[in-house]
Amino acid sequence: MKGRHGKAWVGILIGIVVVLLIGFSWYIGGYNRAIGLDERVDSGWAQIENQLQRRNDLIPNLVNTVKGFAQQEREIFTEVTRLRSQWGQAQSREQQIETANEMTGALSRLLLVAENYPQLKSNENFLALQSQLEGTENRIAVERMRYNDAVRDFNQFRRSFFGRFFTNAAGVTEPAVYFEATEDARTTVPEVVF
Amino acid sequence: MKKFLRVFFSGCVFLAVTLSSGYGQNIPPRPQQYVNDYAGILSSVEEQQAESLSMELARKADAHLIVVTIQSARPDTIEQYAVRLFEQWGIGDKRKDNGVLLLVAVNDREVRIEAGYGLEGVLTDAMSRSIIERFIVPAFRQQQYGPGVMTGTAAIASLIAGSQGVTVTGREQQVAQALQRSENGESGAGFFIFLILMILFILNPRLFMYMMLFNMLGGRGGRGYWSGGSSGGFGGGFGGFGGGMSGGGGATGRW
Repeated sequence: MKGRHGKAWVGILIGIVVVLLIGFSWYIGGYNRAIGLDERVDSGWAQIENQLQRRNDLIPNLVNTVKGFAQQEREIFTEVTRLRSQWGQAQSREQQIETANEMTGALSRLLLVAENYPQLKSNENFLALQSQLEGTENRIAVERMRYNDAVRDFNQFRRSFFGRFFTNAAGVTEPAVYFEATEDARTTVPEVVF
Repeated sequence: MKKFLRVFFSGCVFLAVTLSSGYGQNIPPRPQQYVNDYAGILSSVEEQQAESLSMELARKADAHLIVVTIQSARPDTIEQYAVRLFEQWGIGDKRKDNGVLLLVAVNDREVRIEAGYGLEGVLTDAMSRSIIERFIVPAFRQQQYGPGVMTGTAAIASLIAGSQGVTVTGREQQVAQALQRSENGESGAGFFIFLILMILFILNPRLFMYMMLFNMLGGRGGRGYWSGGSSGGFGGGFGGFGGGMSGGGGATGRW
């Protein structure tokens, strides 16, 4: 009699422990995944910031070089300078993205303006800056692609069945923001040649 | 029912394949050698020479130079294709990102040098550009693809080797060294840093040791979360693919 009861208790106890263990590891797994995905978004963003900073560092030099040949294009100079300082003041990621996109547009306009000045176009310094700028834009594009992949993974997880529970547990309540390219940037993608 | 199942499963497979490939054309599976002439523009002798040069570079300078020729990168741009291939193959070491890719798209008439994160300091955009303009594009303009690839790989290899203070053999080695001399701004800076470190070592060896240690430990803090390639190379022998990444550094040329 006593023996049978004892056995049942042991069985129930083991069952509870197993369920707890499974639940616990499930929780740990989900929590860690939320943290990992969020971290990936942040490190992706840090890479973009690096490259945007690098582009901003090129700007004073570029503006001065172009100015030397085309003083009358004041509008574009002031816009580029304004956006550069605006970048420093941007608070949220959305603002930073917006400023960065505007800057992409302004810079491509600046380079377009340069097309009208043959002397500038053959200036050694300008050519070097232009190729550095191209390289930076390409890096921005790469990091943006990876960042957006990370954002997609995170948001997908967040919208999945228990996803929000885990992301909230990890302290991330907002969905991550995509870095969408601007319209100008999209139209300047080289067309396909057959 | 059987037929339904078959259709259903092939549908699933199709969906999985299209979803996993994302966009753009499929990247070839990861090969086992440095030189991969998918476009068939190299002679077997050239292929072997380039291969042995890459092997020498890997042995002496701890950098992995991968050569790939394809017909076309479309619908991707060559830059996008290069980044995707770099990431999928995982060129170079995961921690050092010491890989570099020379990609030729013959029908697009485009060539790209894509430098891994770890080589961006040596193979700067400007250096990549001048290697392309001086050693690759002139030959390609005359349909001399083999020689163009050879001089290009030789130039890249000796530039990287030079930055490590070693030399590699190669027909165009002198040419490449001339290139290095003519653009000595950066190597000058390297020498300057070396000088400062030497002085520091003489004045205060302990601080120097701390700095070196710190440098080794914290060298790659910023990145490294991207676990793109999970494999750690092929065990023994060929170690060209260890999960290295690139970030769009390098240059593109057209002919």
